[in-house]
Order: sequence, then structure tokens, then C-alpha cells
Amino acid sequence: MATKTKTLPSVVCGTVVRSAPAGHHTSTTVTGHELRVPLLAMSDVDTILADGPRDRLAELPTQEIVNFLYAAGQNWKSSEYVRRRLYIRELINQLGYSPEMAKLEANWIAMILSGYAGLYDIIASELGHRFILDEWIPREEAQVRAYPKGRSLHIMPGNVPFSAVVSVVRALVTKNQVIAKSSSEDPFTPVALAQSFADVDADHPVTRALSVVYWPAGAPGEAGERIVAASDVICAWGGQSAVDWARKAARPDAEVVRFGPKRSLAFVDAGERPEDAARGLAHDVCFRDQRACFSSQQAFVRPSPAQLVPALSEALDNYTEILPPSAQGFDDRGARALTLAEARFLGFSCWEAKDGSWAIIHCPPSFAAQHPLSRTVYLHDWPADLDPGAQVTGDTQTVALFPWAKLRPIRDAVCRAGVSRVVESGMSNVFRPGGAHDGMFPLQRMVRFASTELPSAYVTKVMTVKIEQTKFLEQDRFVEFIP
Amino acid sequence: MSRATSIPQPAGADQPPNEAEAQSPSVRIIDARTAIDELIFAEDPWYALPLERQRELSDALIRQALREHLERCPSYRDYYARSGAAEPGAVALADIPLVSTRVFKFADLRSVEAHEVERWYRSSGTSGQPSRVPRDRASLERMVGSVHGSVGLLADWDEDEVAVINLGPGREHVEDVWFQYVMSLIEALYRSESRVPRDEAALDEIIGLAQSLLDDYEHLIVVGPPFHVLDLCEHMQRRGVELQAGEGATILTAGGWKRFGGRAIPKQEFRAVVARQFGLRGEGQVRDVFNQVELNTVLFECEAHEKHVPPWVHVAARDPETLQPVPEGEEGMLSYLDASCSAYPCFIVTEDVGVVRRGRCACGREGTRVDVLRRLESRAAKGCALKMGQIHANG
Ligand SMILES: [Zn+2]
Repeated sequence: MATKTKTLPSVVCGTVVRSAPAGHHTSTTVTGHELRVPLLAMSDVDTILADGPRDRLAELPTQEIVNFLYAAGQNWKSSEYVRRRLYIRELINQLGYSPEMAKLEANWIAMILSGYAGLYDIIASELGHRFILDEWIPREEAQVRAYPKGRSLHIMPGNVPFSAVVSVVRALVTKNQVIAKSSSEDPFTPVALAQSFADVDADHPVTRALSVVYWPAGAPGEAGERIVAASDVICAWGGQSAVDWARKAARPDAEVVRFGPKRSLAFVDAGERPEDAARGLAHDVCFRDQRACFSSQQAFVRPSPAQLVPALSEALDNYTEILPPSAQGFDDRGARALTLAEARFLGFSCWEAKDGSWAIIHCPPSFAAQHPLSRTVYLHDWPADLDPGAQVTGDTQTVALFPWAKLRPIRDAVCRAGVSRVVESGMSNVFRPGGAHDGMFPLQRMVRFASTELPSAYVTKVMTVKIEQTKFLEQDRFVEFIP
Repeated sequence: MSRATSIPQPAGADQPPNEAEAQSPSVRIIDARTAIDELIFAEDPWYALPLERQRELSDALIRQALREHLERCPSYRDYYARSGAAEPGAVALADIPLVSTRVFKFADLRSVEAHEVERWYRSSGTSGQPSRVPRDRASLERMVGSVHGSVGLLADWDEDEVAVINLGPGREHVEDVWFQYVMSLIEALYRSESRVPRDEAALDEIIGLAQSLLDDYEHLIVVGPPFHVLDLCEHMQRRGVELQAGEGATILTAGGWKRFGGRAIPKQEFRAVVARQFGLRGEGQVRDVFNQVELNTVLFECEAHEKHVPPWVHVAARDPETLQPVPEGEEGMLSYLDASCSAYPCFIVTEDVGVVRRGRCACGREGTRVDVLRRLESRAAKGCALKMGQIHANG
């Protein structure tokens, strides 16, 4: 394969910047191409940290932001849109995505941006009211309003484009300036998103609020340190080291919102409908090749794992066809080979696709500490006395169930033990409005709430008289008002 | 130089070496003067053997070790049987079933009785579950013997004229951390001082010590992990110290090539900095050795910076999917078949990526060389999914 060099721009407050006064970071993609990304320069920092980009967005009504995202999303929805076509091509050529997976990523970007009703629902359910970022909303004896925290820095996940877009959208709808520190594994998504904003309106406050920069993981340099110091919120995605770094580097008063690393698993009763059980599990295993925190890595299976294997093999083969896996690099293939060698040494049954696209290992849950991802699914026995709560920890994000109606009662045990999401098997990737993410409602972490409270003329629920505190003290009557 | 075969005893070991040798039944291996011991403890160094002879020895020794482990290690025997590999006399070395080194994190693997294990050694990793690897007396003696037999790849020093500074805790503080034990073996060859460069004061002391040992001895060896050596050089730079060691010093590194925070140290740059700070005559005096807790042999670098592999070890770089050997000179996952280990089947595939070369080295010696390039690092792990090893790292 011929090695080509691809040089990406950075985006400074909506403007594409092709110069790189601080030099480039060079890496090799999974497909063997050289990839160059500009390192963050001091001059970029000055532009990014000027007041304009932050303040103009903060003054915008929510609906204008949502409408703008919708307009960008409509472009993404069109297969004729040149930005979409280029993006899909980069995912295929540079990141080794199958055409089907690349197209699906672009569709999800369109879905997130265009889903205005969903965005309003998320704002309303997480923050309390759809207009809370624009108006004072009556709430008990106060009126409350939410303000953006200000500047948000996003340490982007490697190779989970969907999460990168979600992170940016959450910050923008809460009117926060966004500085996306892209991952060397996927520098394409944030840049493509920023360019698609400029395609709608190059001078729009939303366009101007988004910058895409790069520094090597854990090494922000002087320029990056200025960004970190000026960030009011840091959303850290990805592996343990990225998340740990963000917590250490953040200003003490800054909000650090951590996403991942998490794992997810399934409980499957395949006794009655093994084909349906296998289809749901295969979807949750294959979607994004298990790179995402919601992807099922293990499944507890009734009546027995061995009985599910034929149907599951078939379902996984089907996904190889309808959603072919992305190219696996040397290291990912090596991790899978080592895991299989370990499983075989320990005497566990293993099944592999003929083309290597998936693997099934029948093993005890303790083996799950070694997981190579890449469409590898661990099947565990599910004896009658197994406590589902004991199989999960605070590291477990999503528990997928099949069949839904029969197994739903498991939710009490697993959520008490640390799980933050319970879904029907096959639905792991669909984050419904109203749902929790990693144990929280993230929009709440992006805003600052303020309240104006009722004056003394208003009585409270427990007092039928006007609040005259001086008089009450003079007459020593406080105790009368204690319910 | 002399080739003592007693094992330097870490603090807390049961008995002084001589007594143990007299009483323990496991010395039989030394007494039996098996082919491998003859080779390891030979007066003439293995690296002087012609390539073809090395190959023959390798084949015979590894097959013999395979037979012994199949007899003594039930879990390996079962694994071997399940794998469908041919019987030991007929199996190709490339097809001998490999144990992933990560197995040592969660399974106790041994080919000797529990009472024959001198000590369980562990890896020195700062995060995650450590590996636990058993060593019996014969394995340890061969390990020591192999260090003695390979140190000549560095240079042929007269042992009275050499002093060592070990940038580590020193022999008397070595417990069950394998890396420290290996360092103490190198230290044990000569007169030595141990200093952990934990702060500025310690670094100042080490510089002073180096200066005075350079004055008093023909040759100074500074041995330590690369990041400690780099700390020392950077400290010398800050203090404006440049030693004038000339030909009189060798800087020997061992251990991971990453600094705190996970950044890799580029080897060539490293050698240049060290050579400058110590005033060495050439970068050939900056050498590296390789070992890992699951491997029973220390691999020394020659003056051409190639790590020569002795004939009782078969090394291969393997395809990451099929685990079959890749063509010579291509990158692969490194695997070792180490016949010097009697305590457990040392037929391992590691998380290291590297290149294997055979034939004549630039240094003039014939044999197999291995270049350990990096650790396997999964790209998938940079998503938000929790994957291998990370669960341990958390708890
Ligand atoms: Zn050589």
C-alpha cells in the first residue's frame, strides 16, 4: 500500500487555519498513511481566549442555536453534501472504516444535529425547563435560570465519532464556547463538524464558538496549559490516562466531567427465541466494534452459552456483512490473539469467524478483566443462584437485557450495584432523551444555576404571615414558625 | 574473568548459597551436567559458536526442555494436547504452543513441586496486576550463569578493576521484584554501590561517587533504568557537570524505555546525551540489556547495539493474528522458548513488538539478535470502553 501524507488544518474560532507555527504532530493511521495535525500555537490561543467568541454565543437564544444545528444537520443528512462525502472517505481511507460503518457514522452526526425535538427534550429533562437558558423560570419560591459555565474544553475520545459530536452539541446548546482537543486516533470528526458549521454561516456565533486544536495526550505545552487554565468545564473522554490527566490539569474550581472508561454487558435468556436473542447481542457487540463504553463485552446466558453459539455465530456473520468491521491495526489484532491464547491455555471454548471478524469465548466472568474489544464477546454461564448485582461495578455503564419484559426486574439489583443504564438488548447505542449518562445528567454539569427569590411580601408554605425577620427577633417568636 | 555459579541471595532468602547447594536435592541438575548446563557454564562463550552450531543446540535444548515440561507441568501438558501440536520430537519450534505472559497475572504455572520453588518473583509494573513467576534453584543458577556467560558481550574487563554504581535499591534490599534481582546480579559481578536517585541530594551524591570511582578504578559501570540515567544526566546538565570518563566507563540500562507519564525515550538521542554528559569516547559505551520476569535469560547488547540471543533461547517475531513467525526483519509480537528455565514452561508470547535478525551482526559475531521496539498498545482502548487490564489498574 502506498503511503500518503494527509495534513489536517486546525480550526480557530470557526476559521480553518492551515499554517502551523508550532509545527505538526505526525502519526501513522491504521491504514498505514502518515497523518499530520498542527500543534496548538500561542497565536491561536490569543484568538480563542478573546471574549468575543464566548460572549456572543452566551447571548444567543437557545432556539437559534438549535435551529443552527438543525441546518447543519440537514446538510449532513444529504448524500450529496460534499463535506459528508469527504468525511466518509477519510473514515474509510485513513481510519480503516468499512464503507457501511463510515456511512452510519455520518448518519448519526446528521441525526444528532437535526434532532431538534430531542435536544429540547434533553434540555427540559436535564435542566428542568426548555427555556431555562433564556428566561427566569418559576420554581417553588424562586425563579431560576441557567447560565453557561463559559469555556468548555473537550478531550475527545479516540475513534468514537458519535461521542465527539455529542460532547460538542451538549456544550453548544448550553451556550458554552467549545475547544475540542482532538485525538490523534480521530482528528477528522471535530474538524469536519466545524467546517460544516461554517458552510451554514461562517460568522454565526455557533460557528465562531467552536475551535479544534491538538496537543499530544498529556503534553499540552505552554499553549495548551493556557487553554486548560482558562477552561471552566473539561469534558474528558477516553481511556483511564486521558481522564486522570484532565482531573489533575484542571483548575481547582473547574468542572471535570468524565466519560469512561466503562464497560457494558448483557443478560440473555435465549431459551425461547435464540435467533432474536442472538441478533440483539450481535448488534451491541458489533456497533462501533466495541470501542464505545455502551458496547456489550460480555453476556450472561441462559439456558447455556453453548446453545446460543450457533445462532450468535450466524448473527455475527450477518453483521460482518451488513456492517463490516473497521480495519484492525497490528496492536488490536495482537491483543485479540493474546486473549485467545490465554483462553485456550485456561481451557475455555473459543469460536472464531473464518475471516477473523469476530470471536466468542465461553469463560467465567473473572476472565473479563482481559478484554481485547474488536467484536470479541465473552459468554458466561448464568446459574439460577447468580446474583446479577455482583457481576457489575461502578465501572459498568449499560446493562442490556433479553427478553426485555421478562428480565426487567434485574434492573434493581444492577443499578443498586453501580450501573447507570438498563436497556433492551440491541438498543445499547440509542441514548433516549431523559436517560442518564455515566451516572449523571451531563447538561447540568455544563451550566451554572442562578435564582432570584421571592420578596418578603410573599408568604411561605409553612407561614401564613408576611416574613418580618426583625420583628420576629425582637419578639422572640422564631420558634412559632417551625412546622 | 571468573565464572562463579553461586546465586546472589536476596535479603530474606532461606539459606546462604553454599549450604543450600550442599543440602538441596535440586542441585542434581548441575551435577548431571546436562547439555544445557555445559553450554551455559562453559568457559568459551556461546556467542563465539558458529551460527549452524547455535541452531543445532537450540533445537536440541528446546525439545529436551519441552519434554521435561510436558512431563512435569499438567496445565501445560493439557494445553499442549488440546492444541493438537505434534509430539515433541516432531513439532516445529514455531508450532510449540505458547503461553501468553499475561497468564502469569492470574494463574500459578509451575513444573516443579511447590517446595522446590525458591521464590515467586513478581514484575515491577507500577500499574495493574503484577505477574507472579516461580523460580527453582536450577533456573536461578542458570540465570546467574547466563549473565556471567554473556557479560563478555559488553567488554572483557578484569573484575578487580571495575566498580559499579547501581541506580536502584541494591542487593540487600531486593525482595521478590525480579527486575531488582536481575540488576543485583549485574551489580554482584564487581565492587558496587547502590543509590536510588530519589532527590537532588541523592543525585549530587551519585555524581560525586562517579567522579571518585572514575579516579580510583580502571572502569566504572553505571547500571539503571533509562529514566533514572536520564534524570542523572539532566541533573548533571543543571549542575554544569560534564565528566571526562573517556574509555573508562560503560552506562548500562535495563528496564522500560518510558518516562513517567508514558512518553517513550528515543534510544539514539538517549545515547548521545549520556555519552556527552559522561564524556565517553563513543556511544558504543552506552548499552542496554533486556529481560522480563517471565524470561529466564538476560539479553545483552553488543557494541553494535544489537541484543544477542543465546542458543538456549529461541526467539521469534510473530504475526499478530496467526501467531506464526513473520519473515526475518519484519515486525512481530515477540515470543521466547527459553530452555534454561526448569521452574515453569518458559514458552511465552509477550506483549512486546520487535524484530528478529539472524546471521552475522555488525559486531562480527554470528547469531540471533532481537530488537524490542515497543509494547503492544491497543487503539481500541482510546475509545471510552474499558478494556484489558484496566479493571485491575482501577482496583
Ligand atoms: Zn553484535
